[in-house]
Amino acid sequence: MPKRSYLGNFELIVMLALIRLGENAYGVPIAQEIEAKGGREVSLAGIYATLDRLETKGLVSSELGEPTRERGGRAKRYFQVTPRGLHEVRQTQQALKRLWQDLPQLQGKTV
Amino acid sequence: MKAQPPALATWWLEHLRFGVRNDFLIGDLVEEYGRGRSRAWYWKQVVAAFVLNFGREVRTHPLLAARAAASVWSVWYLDGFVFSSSLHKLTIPLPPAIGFMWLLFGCGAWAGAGWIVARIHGEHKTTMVLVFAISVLFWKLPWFYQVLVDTLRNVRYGPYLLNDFLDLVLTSVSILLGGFSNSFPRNAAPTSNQLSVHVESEDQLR
Repeated sequence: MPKRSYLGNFELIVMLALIRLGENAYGVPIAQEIEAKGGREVSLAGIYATLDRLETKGLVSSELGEPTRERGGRAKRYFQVTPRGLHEVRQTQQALKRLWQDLPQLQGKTV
Repeated sequence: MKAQPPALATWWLEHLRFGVRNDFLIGDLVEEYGRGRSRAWYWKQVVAAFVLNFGREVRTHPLLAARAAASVWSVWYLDGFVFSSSLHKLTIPLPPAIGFMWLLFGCGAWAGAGWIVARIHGEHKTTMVLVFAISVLFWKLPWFYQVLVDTLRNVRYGPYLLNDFLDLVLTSVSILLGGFSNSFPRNAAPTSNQLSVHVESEDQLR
C-alpha cells in the first residue's frame, strides 16, 4: 500500500474554513470562521503557521492584498485552496468516512 | 474606531521576529483590535505568536539551537576557570567597590556573549539569543534551587538566595540587552501618535 500523509486535525479545519470562505480568506475571517463553526478559540499566529505549512506542501497558495488604514497601513495576505489541496481534503474525507463506518460506539445517543 | 493597540506589543512583534515578517499578522491584530477586542486579547495573541514562532524556529534549525546552547559552556569556561579562579587566587580581601566592579564586568561579559550569539546567527538571532539565555538559566537553576532549599531550612542563607536571584535576573537581562541591542530603534518604542502618522503616511502614498 502506498505511504501517504493525511491532513492533521487543525490543518483540515483550516482547509475547510478556506473552502467555505472562498476568495475573502485572510487571517481574520479564517479565525472567525473556525471560532463560529468549530467552536474553538484560535490564535492568529497558529493559523498562519498552519497556512505556511500547507503552502509549503502546495495545498494552498497566497497573494498580497492592498494595505488599508484600519490595519495600520499593512496589507492582507489572501489564501486559497489549490486543486491539489482540494484533492487532499477529499482524500481525507473519504478516509474519515471509511473509519467512521460500523462503529457501534459512535452510533445512537451521544455521551 | 478604538484607540491604537498596545504600542509595546506591536513593537515587540515587529522587531523580535523569527526570520519571517509579521506584517500580515500585525495587520490582522490591529484590525481585530479596532473592532473591539481587548488589550488582554491583543497581548495574548502577541505572546502566542512569539512562543509559536520560537518553537517552530528551534524545530527547523536544531543544529543552530544546539550550537547556541553549547556556546554557554565556552562563556562558563572563560568566566569560571580564567577570571574567577584568578580572582580567588588573590589572598587579600577585596573591597566592596571591587566586588561591584566585578558584578558590572560579569554583566558586560554576558551582554557581550549575547551580542556575539546574535551576530553569529544573523536572521535567526532572536531564537538563538533566547536559546542561549534559557540555557544559561537552566545551567544556573540547580545552584539557585540548592540555595533556596538551604534558605528554607535556615534563614541565615537569605542573603545568598538574594544574591543568586539577582545573579539570575542580571544575567538574563544582560544577555537579552546585548543580544537584541541591534533590534532596538534609535528612539523609544513607537507611541500611539507615531503609529497614527504611519497610517496617514500610507494613505498619502496611495
